Amino acid sequence: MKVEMIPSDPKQIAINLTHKMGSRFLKWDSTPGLNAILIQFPYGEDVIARVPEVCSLLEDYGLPEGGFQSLNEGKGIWGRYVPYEEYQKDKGCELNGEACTYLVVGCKVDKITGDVQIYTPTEQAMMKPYCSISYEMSIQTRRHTVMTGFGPFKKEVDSGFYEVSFPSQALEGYMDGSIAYQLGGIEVPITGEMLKQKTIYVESEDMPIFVSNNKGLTLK
Amino acid sequence: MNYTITCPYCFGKMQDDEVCFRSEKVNIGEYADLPDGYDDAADYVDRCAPSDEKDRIMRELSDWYFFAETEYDDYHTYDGKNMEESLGYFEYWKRFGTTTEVEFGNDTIGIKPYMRRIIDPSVPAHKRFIRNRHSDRADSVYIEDEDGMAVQIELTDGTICSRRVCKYCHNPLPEDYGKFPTKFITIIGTTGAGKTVYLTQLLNNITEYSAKIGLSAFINSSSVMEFIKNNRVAAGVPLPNSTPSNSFQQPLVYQIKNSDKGLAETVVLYDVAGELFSPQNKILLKKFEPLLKQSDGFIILIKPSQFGAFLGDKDKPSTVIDSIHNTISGRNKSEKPIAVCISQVDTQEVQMVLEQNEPELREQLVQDVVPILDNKGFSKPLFNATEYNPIARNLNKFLMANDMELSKKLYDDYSLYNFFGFTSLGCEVELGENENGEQYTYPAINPNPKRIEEPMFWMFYEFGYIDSNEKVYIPGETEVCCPECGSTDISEIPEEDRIIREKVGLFKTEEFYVDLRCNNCSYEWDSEEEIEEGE
Repeated sequence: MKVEMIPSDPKQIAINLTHKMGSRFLKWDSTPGLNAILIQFPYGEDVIARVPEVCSLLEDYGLPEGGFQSLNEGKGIWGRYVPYEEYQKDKGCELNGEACTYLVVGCKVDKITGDVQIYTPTEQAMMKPYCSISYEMSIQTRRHTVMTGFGPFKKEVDSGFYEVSFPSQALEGYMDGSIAYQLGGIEVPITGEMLKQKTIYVESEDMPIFVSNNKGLTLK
Repeated sequence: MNYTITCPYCFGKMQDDEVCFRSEKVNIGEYADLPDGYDDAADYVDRCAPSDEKDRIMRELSDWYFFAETEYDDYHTYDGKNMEESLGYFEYWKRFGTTTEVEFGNDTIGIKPYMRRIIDPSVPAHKRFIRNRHSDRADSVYIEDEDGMAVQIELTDGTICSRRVCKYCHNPLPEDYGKFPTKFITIIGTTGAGKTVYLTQLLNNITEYSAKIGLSAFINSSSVMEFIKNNRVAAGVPLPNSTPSNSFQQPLVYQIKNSDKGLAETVVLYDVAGELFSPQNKILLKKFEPLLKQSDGFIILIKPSQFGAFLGDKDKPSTVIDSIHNTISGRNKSEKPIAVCISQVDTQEVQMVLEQNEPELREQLVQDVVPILDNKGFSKPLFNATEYNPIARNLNKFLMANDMELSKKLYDDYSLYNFFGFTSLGCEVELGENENGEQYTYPAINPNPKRIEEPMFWMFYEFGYIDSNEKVYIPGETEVCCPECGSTDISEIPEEDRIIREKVGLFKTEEFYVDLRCNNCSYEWDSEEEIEEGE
């Protein structure tokens, strides 16, 4: 399957990508009949400049239908093909995750060869084909204790660990290292797998300080 | 059945069986049946000796010339016509320089519509050309449609004439015009405010927009089709030229219907240049006075450069507001709804200012107007005030900060007004050059208008065609907000339910007085207590 970028066509436009705060839905305006690809990038990137790179990734991974698919092994680029029939129902589709930037591009797919041509996205003063979604995350950190002893001699003792709780709602499309904790002058990245655990334990006398390396992700 | 028709040009009133018609029969060129030896009709009249044959030919000539294309509607030189009552077509258009009427579609015989003979069934001299199909009604030659409206006449040669015209000014009456109540809405804006583009986009999508509020729209006026055809708005196509400020544009007529409510209305839109309202154009404005006085509502388009916040303060919007008010109400507050609209909100200047000062408003203005759906998925005939109110509040706040004069004038002179922001293009405009070296502007991509239908929806709400899903924001009015959740969706508690008894101890109850209830969170309170001012 070949994926190439072609010049924008003023009559084949996917634009005005918007997201309402609190919702999990992305909406955009589309020329009737135009298929689209929704691409998720790390927050604040120059997404239009990266479209050629996405074309190469799509050639390797294929056109992701039915849902978002990572295009570069968890390094922050995800894609989803949205045929017009699917777009038409709600004038958009569900997003993958937050704290990132989405780009919508119009495309046409050759039914015989499966080759894809992506229209160069266009920006208009008021309406853009991309939007950035920020996210606020609350991380709870507390000293972990365990109960030792029997019966009336039971007591709570310090386990030597800090218990770190992440929000129950998974952050889809999370890029490893977007959050990290600092301890003893070292920064330890938090991976997507760690987030999915919901709770992790850090062995330390000092409380780990969590930082965000993603401009769209605010820790509170 | 009698229908009262108000002419959309001169606003004269008439019954449906008083209208005149433009003849379908048109004689072109010269009368062909002159005897040999004469150059033309004038030559025959001069040289032919009187005789019965000449009298016969003269009568035929007169009848032939009656149906010839003509620049005159001087039929009132025949007997029976009240000349003071009739203005006549050319007399009407002389005030505005020239007519703006054009023929829509293929003109099969190549003459302008206003060159066709006027046939007035009330004039005996015309009646002899009309066939009376009613054996029971000798006094009426009109042919009625299925709704009982007089819509046609038949000439003695079988030609059916259905081009109705006003009996006073002889301007065309669209098909079905007069069958339903009519509302006249005037759209005013200075040169470059975008009236023509706005009207084209609105009318081109009128069925889609009307469906959003549960109405069906029908365009049965050739002037609308012609307007859309001549003012195309599309990617790569030059944008329409500015409308001349001293000419009277053809009224744009369409119908809306809601079968469930039994509603059927005719809407007439007028495109009027804002320059008319400048102090130096008082004489020109006088010509448009009948229109302003007849209008049921106004939509004022203000381009961003008219606000000090953007570029400068030339062509103040408050001047237009003032002039309209002086013309229609004198010293009293006007009761007619007026929609004050910032057009072209998608331009760079506007975007930069909004991004700095009103980022929330900027986000709101790129969204489409959302219909309110019933459980079958159809749009309800409701104005979406829930969505509109925050926009109106923000626009009011913005205008108070950037054009206090306008806000004050509206507050003092109008009892029904509101603010809107939209873009008729929703895309950038680029500069091109034609083969003659003339520059023009064109949309860079397929236009994507946003919220252009909202002022019309609000107007329909004020006219009573549709309801609203909550109380519509009123600028200048102190809003009551719920002390708990801040919602403005408040209702009054009925008198009999205002005393609440609450048990505060084992044997003790206390009474509380509440008169307002929040429909959002159900909180109830006494309005005499501290009430938050709404924005």
